[in-house]
Amino acid sequence: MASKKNYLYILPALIIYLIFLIAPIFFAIFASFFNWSPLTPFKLEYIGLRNFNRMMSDWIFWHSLKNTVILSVLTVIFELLIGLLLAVGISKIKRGSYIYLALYAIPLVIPVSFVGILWAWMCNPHIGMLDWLFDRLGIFKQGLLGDPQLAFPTVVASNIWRWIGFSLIIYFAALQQIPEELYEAARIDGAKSWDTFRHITLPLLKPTTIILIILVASGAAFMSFDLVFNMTDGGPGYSTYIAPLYIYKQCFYYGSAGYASALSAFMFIILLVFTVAYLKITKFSRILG
Amino acid sequence: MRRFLNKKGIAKTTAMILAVIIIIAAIGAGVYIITRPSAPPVEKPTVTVTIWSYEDVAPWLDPVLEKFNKTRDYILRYNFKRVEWLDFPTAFASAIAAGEKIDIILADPHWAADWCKAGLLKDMRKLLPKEFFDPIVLGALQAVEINNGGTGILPGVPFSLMTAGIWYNKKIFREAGISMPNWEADEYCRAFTIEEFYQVCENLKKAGFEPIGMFGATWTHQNLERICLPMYASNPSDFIIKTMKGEISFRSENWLNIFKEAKRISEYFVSGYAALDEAAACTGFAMGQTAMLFQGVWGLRYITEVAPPDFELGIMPYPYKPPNLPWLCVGGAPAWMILERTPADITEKIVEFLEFLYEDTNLLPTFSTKVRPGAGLPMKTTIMDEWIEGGYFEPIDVGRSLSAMLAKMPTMPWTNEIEGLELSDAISTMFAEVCQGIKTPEQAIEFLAAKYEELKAEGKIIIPTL
Repeated sequence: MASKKNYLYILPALIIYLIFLIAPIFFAIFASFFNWSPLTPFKLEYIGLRNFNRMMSDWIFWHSLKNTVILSVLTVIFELLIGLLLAVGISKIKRGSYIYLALYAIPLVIPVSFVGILWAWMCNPHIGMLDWLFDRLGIFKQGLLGDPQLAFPTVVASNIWRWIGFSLIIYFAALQQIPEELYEAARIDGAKSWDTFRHITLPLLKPTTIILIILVASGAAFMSFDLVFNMTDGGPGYSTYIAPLYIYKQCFYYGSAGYASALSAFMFIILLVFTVAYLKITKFSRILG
Repeated sequence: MRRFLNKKGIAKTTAMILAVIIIIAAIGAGVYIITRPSAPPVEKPTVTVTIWSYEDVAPWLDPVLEKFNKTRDYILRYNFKRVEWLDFPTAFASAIAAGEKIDIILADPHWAADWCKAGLLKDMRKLLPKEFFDPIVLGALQAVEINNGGTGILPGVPFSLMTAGIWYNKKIFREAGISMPNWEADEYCRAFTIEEFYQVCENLKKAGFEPIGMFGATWTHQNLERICLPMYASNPSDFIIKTMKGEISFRSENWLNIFKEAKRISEYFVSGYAALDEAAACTGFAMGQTAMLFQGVWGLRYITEVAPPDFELGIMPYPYKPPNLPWLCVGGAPAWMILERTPADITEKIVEFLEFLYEDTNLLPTFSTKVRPGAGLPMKTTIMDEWIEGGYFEPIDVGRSLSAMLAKMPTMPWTNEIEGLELSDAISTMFAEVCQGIKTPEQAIEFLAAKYEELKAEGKIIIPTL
């Protein structure tokens, strides 16, 4: 009886989840076999696998996908690394550690689109702070966002900056959960700081790290659409295109909603495969208990 | 106290209160009768339409609408939604998919091909009398019609005539010792040949100036196509149409030369141009940071906003490569378009209003650069002279130059209007990538040839008919 009641409690959320998340996924997979435009939403022309054929030879999509993967991987690596170091550092501070936490968390509460505009302004060759700085140093003469070689790394840097507070807060919270006795026991046994970090802190932070990797990787890949859209709109040339931006343009700008659905379905499958594989490798279910 | 609490006292007090109330009410009624407003006139029925545009229409639309409403037995009102220019096609597509109510849009025709194919727009030729179109500049009308996606309709009526050229700072040119050819007097408005132009750029550099103002947005690189195309095609419109038909390949020598020329020109762009946005590039030019600016008439809205009072603004045609002549791009941006889903009775009122708006006396004030800075040139020949001589365009000299260019130069549609959105975007991006050193001209034309094939296979190549 109690378990039936429990299901009833989650029903409203489940209905919303099904309508707004699961149903669109299935619809996108369905629409990927059709020639379909948002301008004629009720007119679908079945074209079989043609959208997927087109995808295979679409250089811009593969380039965007490559950028998406690089963006995700670099964001995850740097963010987790910096977040962890900062969290360990801040946890050592006896008084006022929350001030540091709040300061680092500021980018998190800024809307992503605004982060994009903010960085675009910082990199503006006329009035931008960063470009002014690099100009004084005599490097990056074309401007950070004007140079195709530098534009993408700049986008990555802004994404790391945006997410850093997230991993910091999660790691900081996880560090508070590690019993002090473990460190004390290790110290009595003669362990040095590095040893306790390596053999106590890191292993106990593993579940947190796994969750962070999934959250940040998916977040960096898909939630950075507005960042790139506002910061570079994919330019210079196609150099900072990411897959979500390209899919968006295909759907709403070029009117190829069917093709955009095929690209989305492909992305969904890739992500699904990676996530499942990753969870298997890291035995995620066992970690969650 | 007891005196008042008897029956007589209560009756007296009540009577007194009643008397006071009656007196006050009588005075109030008298005041109301004297001061009441005259009986309200019989209300005219109100028709409300929803307009979408990327420019704020209120400053010029409201006065005309007020005049219009006085002449009708109904009141026409509008709900207005302003959408950023770059976001317009995506916002519009989303709104259509969501079934949002929109009756009329003031939008760029080069977005309209897909809208026409989807049957979203009404044929303006069927709604408006033939005489309505007679005074409209043919190029402006064609620029709208060319975007009908092969449906044969006229999707909108042009509301201005856009053109582009090279804005230049006369003071900087004087300081650098550069003399301008008397191009306005020339039969074809020939300013500099391309080799002379490079020399001008060199002289400007030697004098310590950044020669060309430009910005990094992909779409602005269409300008380079428009500049370089007439150098390698004696009839640029024909050349583009043949390219669209597949009769001229992107792998041809002409396309390669066009890209090579663009690359050469880009050597003179302001440093760091790719990181600049439109406002920054125009502002930089207006503040004297660059001697020239590749930009259309719409750039004026940025330039006039920040230019110092002694700024001497000039405009000249793009350079040309003999024996080919310089060509001028003209287009109808923006244009009024009525949505197919707009009910017939509302459409009728909109059409009546458009006819009223396009009367010379109503139209002329809307082309005042004080009301619509960067609005473009009038698309009706009948108001052109008054527009220039009446000081509606400031600076007047620039208006005269533009008028001379329009009158003397052979005209072509904006190339993107022929190419369609996706291919045009790919071409612009390739110009950007070539200028920014990401691709070589050879790689760019190879990419475009493949893109053309891909779009052709998808049935997304529309060959425009006029």
